[in-house]
Amino acid sequence: MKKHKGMLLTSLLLTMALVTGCGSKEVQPVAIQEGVDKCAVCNMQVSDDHNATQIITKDGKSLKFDDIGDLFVWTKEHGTENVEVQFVRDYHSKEWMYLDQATFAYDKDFKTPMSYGVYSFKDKESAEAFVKEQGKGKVMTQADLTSHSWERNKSEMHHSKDGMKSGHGDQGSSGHGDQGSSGH
Amino acid sequence: MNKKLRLGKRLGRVWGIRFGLILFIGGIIISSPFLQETVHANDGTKSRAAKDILVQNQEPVIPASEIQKLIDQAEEGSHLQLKSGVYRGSLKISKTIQLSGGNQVILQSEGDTPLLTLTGDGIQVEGIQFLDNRTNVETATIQVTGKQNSLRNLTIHTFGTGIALRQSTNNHIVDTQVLGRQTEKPVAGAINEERTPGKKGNGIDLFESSNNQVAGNLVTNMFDGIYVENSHNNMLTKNEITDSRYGIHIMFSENNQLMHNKGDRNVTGAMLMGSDGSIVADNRFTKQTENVNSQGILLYDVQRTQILRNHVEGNRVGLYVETSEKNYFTENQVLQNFIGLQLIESKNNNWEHNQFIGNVSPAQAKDSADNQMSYNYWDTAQVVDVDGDGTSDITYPINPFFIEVTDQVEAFQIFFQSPGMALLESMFEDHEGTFLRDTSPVAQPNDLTQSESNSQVWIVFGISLIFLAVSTSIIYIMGVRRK
Amino acid sequence: MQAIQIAKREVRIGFRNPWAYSFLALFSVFSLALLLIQAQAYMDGYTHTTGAMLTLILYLLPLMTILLGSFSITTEKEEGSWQLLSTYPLSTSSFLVGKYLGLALVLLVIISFGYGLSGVVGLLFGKSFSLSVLLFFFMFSLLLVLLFLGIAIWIGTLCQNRWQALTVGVSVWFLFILAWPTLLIAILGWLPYPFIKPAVQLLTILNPAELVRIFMVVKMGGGSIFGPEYYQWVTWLKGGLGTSMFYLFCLLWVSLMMVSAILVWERRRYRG
Repeated sequence: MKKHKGMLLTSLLLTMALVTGCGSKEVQPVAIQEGVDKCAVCNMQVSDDHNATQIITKDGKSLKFDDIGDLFVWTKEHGTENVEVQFVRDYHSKEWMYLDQATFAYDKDFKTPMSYGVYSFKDKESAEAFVKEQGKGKVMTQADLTSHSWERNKSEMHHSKDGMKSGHGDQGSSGHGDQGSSGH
Repeated sequence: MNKKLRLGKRLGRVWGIRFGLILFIGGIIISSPFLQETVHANDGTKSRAAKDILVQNQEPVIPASEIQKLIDQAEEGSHLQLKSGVYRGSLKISKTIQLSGGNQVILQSEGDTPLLTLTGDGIQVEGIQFLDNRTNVETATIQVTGKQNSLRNLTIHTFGTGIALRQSTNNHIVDTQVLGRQTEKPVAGAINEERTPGKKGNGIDLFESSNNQVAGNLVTNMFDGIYVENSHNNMLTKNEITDSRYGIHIMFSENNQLMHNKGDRNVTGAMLMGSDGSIVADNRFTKQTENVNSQGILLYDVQRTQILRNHVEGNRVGLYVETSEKNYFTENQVLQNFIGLQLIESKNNNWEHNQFIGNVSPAQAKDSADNQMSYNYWDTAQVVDVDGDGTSDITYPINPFFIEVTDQVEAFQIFFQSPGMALLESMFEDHEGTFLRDTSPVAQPNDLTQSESNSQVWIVFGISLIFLAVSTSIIYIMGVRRK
Repeated sequence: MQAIQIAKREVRIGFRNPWAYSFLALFSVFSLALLLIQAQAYMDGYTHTTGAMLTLILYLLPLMTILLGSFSITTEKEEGSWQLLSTYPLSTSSFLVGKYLGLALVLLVIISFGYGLSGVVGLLFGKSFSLSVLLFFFMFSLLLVLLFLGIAIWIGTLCQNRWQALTVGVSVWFLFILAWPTLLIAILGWLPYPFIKPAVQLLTILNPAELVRIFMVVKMGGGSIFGPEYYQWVTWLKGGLGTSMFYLFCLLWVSLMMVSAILVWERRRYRG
């Protein structure tokens, strides 16, 4: 059943791409195989869920990522010259869609495999609704993402790495678990 | 008829053919069972779980609210010894008490709430079995948010997460078993959503929880055995994790200690990511081979961590290290893995006194020439020790060819150890000095206990003798003997 | 029944042929060497030792099979015994099938002698194969021999004399065993990325050495080393159905080689 859905979806995407004339490339996302696919950046297994993202390169190679943050890590390192298309998935429906057509929501407390805290949505409305429902986070566009700092939600130690080295017996670190997001 | 053909009707020759046929067919019959895949006998824990569930069905079920009443009435610091029996419902403890089940108490889930929630400090819980029937829930069987609590000698059967610590410090989780109830293989390639009763959870899950001790626990058939995120200074010792995704998974957490743990048949034994200053010592990770991405120990983006005296044996990849710096790898035994070490884009790590023995491919390194590597033992190294100091006078180069080729085109992975591949690799020499090298490999392995007990010696001898006798007689009868 | 007669004759000629004995000696020395390798350590599953043994066997056995097989056939042509035999009411298929069976038995005897000898010698020196390893490698060798014998018959069919057979045989061996990865990586690297994997798969099926090697690695539990691209292959091969299909494929492969060789012989016999 899932396959049919996927096929329907991709054909929909295709027609959409054709209609909008936005790059009539016939590139389709490759389905995630749980337990087989690993993230091209961090080596973790890619779950077949809303956090999975994908790049298809110009030579037709599919790179999968377990977190949208890792996709940006990859494009930062390798550039986008050889990238044909980038796919993300809608938070609710898990449908594949083009990165440049999606809307995003970010909060450091949103759980993602690599703690980048960014979810993708198929339109602005559903992203806004999600943020409203959660009572936290902010809606971002693709342009916002490009300038996003891509910091992982690392708690207190992120700022006092060297101080911690000597302070092995430090107690009660739960107290300052909420730092690390001062940028927002 | 040809003269020669007629001669062929001699009895002896007929027997020669028959001998041949017997040998032929016999060989196939005897060999065939050895060609079958060996099935892991790892279902012990599961059948135990099933038995427990059976027992419970025959006993009357008491509402857990009866225990909750006792808890609510109890004074701080008191000790509650529970009556044996099967209870259903959930418990919440927010004051410092001790709760003992004496291994005769079973608590089953009811509704969507966790079976046990500890919000207080200094609570001790021991000797209780938890049977969690919930699927696809956010919470774990045991939720802990307080501090200095102790969970001891518990057994948890769950479809989701076993124990979750949230902003919870200085707790002890000791001698506890977390047994995943999902029947799907842990290393599933094609998870069929219709049949899966939900997503697996982690055995013991630490989030923003520091200074905890997790010791002597057994986790089997879970997502990640022990998952540690944004949690620091925890001690994970003597735990055993089998048949799960990642045995111990450390994310963005610092100064944790992983010692004397064991991992078998997981996708990855220990996985450390974005974590600094840990100590990973004396662990034993074996048989992580089933999954196409499995390895003994994986480090990604890890700094200043010590990897000491670990034993990684029979894994797909023994040690996998990527974009990691300033780590110490010392005295590890990397044995009989398909690939001993894969080192990618890592520098300034120190590799000394490790032993790489029996690995199909000892090591592959890419963009990692700047590591300090010396005094390791490589069973495939050419050793020339003229000055007799026990170390080789020639360096041991690690050829990056295979990993670079397969990095570009994964399909070429099929040539792993293909006979022609060795030839191709040897043609790819280190002209620019960009290979990672062990500057002075050790000549002899260090105290390697080799217990080769072959119990089938006489069967082997017998079969060999039959091989020899039959082949010799065929040669004699058909070839040598003249009429 | 004619085929059986030819097979018997083949075995008889085989063991009066110095080539068979030199290969017998070579393989015996070689299997003793295998014993030495394996006595070093670690035989359980896919390890350095078993990997090295696979490689060594892949170097030697296909070459041995190709040479012995193709020489046997070209000798028939050179010495005129085929010309003689073809005047009798003997079908071409009986002749070639008989040759195949006879040669298979000769090679089987060589392999059995080699493994048998090293098994016995090993015990005397306290270093023996384990039972599963002995039988596993016996099986592996047998499969290689049976598949490459098909190729050998073909080479014998195409070549007129032993010199030609030697040249062609060594070239085929070089192509299938030594140059294989180099050629594939060099040539397929030019293909668009999505076509590389199917091309590698197709070509692998056509190379019995690679096919048998991969099957054996999978059977030793090492299939995951081939990576995510071959995940389905490996899982399939591991299962009972995949295993049976593999053996069936081997049978089909040999039959195909034999049938096509027979057709070529027939054309020559009745036209030329």
